[in-house]
Amino acid sequence: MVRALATSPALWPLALLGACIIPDRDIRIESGLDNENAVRIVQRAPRVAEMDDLCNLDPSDDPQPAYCPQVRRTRPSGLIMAPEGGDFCVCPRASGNQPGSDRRAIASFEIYAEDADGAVEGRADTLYGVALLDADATDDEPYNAVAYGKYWQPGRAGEPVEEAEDLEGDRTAPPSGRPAAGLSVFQLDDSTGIREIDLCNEAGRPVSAGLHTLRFMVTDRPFFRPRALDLDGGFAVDENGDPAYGNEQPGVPDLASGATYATIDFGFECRDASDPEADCRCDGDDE
Amino acid sequence: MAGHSRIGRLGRAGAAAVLAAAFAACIVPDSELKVQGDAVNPGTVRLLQAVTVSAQATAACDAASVDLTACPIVPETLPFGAIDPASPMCVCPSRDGNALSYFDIYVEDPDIDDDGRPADAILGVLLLDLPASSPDPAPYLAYGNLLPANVPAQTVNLGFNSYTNALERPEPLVRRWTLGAETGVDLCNDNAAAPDGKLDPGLHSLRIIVTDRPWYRRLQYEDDGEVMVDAHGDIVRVPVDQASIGVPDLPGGASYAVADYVFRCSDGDDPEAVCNCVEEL
Repeated sequence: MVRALATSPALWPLALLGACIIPDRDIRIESGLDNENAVRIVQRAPRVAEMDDLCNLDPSDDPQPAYCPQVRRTRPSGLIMAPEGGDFCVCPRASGNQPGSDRRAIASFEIYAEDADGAVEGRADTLYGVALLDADATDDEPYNAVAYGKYWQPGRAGEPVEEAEDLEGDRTAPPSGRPAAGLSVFQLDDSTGIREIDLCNEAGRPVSAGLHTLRFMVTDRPFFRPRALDLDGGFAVDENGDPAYGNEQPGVPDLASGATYATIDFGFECRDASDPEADCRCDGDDE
Repeated sequence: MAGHSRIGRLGRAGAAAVLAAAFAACIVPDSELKVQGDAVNPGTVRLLQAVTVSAQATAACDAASVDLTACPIVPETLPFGAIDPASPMCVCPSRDGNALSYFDIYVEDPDIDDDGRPADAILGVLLLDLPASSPDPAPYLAYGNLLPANVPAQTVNLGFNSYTNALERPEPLVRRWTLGAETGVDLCNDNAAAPDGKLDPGLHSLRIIVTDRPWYRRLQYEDDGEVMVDAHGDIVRVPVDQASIGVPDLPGGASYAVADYVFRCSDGDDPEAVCNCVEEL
């Protein structure tokens, strides 16, 4: 090529002109902003039987179209019904003023969330979660709704899900047609080996009889922390002169720092165990 | 000869300079370039829900941007989760005087076309009491009168000092449906998929599922069970009018989002239910 250019100076402008023609088909220019992609909560979508068939084909056969669900089976959002056709119940307190215990507690479950930021280059966004009970749309202290800390420490980070993990009969695969997205899992349980969640008695605060909403919020920045104030009411600084911050406010996404958030909602009804029409199974009840 | 050699030296030097310049010209900073590969759908659809934030968080947003006096949050609408009406909703002989007013569903999808306009049409459906054990949504499609399966969400301009002024992220491309704009939303008596529109008294779960591609169309098969392909080698699917409404085309690259409402319908004939059944308008 050097010889051709050396003997034909007329080609020099063409060489310079053609040098930077880069095909742009598969290239996207990012915004350069700090948080390019928003966090999403992911659960299995409705599907038809042939989609399950596609997933169960041997991958070595290169099935087309390729498809498997992105996440494992877990509890779908929406209404949580008590097992055995009975009721969830607010049960009488036990000795020592301990919360009552409902034998119709549900099995612990997982919530999955994804964030595409840095999923290809290396995980960039850690995802944080909090469980809320009956979040009030008018309460400007939304952290008052934090609940079920026994099952999920408020503000704790989810665990990354490795793509290689797979289960026989519950296969998963990255989505088709979309760039890879970092997946995290939030396992709601009490870490004691008793993998049950007592919705009506272990919220961490009293739960009344009636219809309730358990909301799980996921965000891609640590939850908001307000600036600490000094004795004069001004913004406090630490010993290094850097801004000092107060306690984290779980349930308040740090939108000022560019956080995004997503929510998943579960509805359930608690009956009062003293209600003669309620079908309860509290600890201490006769079998 | 000497002149010819000098020209050759000049030519080689010039060619080398051109190649060096061409090489340098093609050093493109890659920090903001993302190779999509086979991704036909780079951005995902999301259902949006307003949340409240603390006064300190509001002040932090105010301080972070001259475009904002509060945090960028979508307008408040009927929150997902348990619907807590001021008065009970009931299954009535005609209609429920306690029916909900109209409300909005907000979605966003970041994909844009070459002209910078939203690229994806967002479709949605409502599913009533879909069991966890039954993934096929067909028997549970509901309220097509409120949210038709083939009507895309409409682009909405939320204006200044709004969710579109999101901080440190690209401007969200927000779309919405308004449910029951003309009729209100009588969940217990106006389900177009139910006999006479009536639901059974009791607790119900209403799921909305949205997607950024047309609904899934099942594959067509040859007699030997192989997937049918056309002359171009493309997979053949059933016609559009046989699409599986409510099933996102995940093998085709669709993304989707899900949210749920839970509500109770009381029996309008139950005197203890304190219903407000009214005659048809």
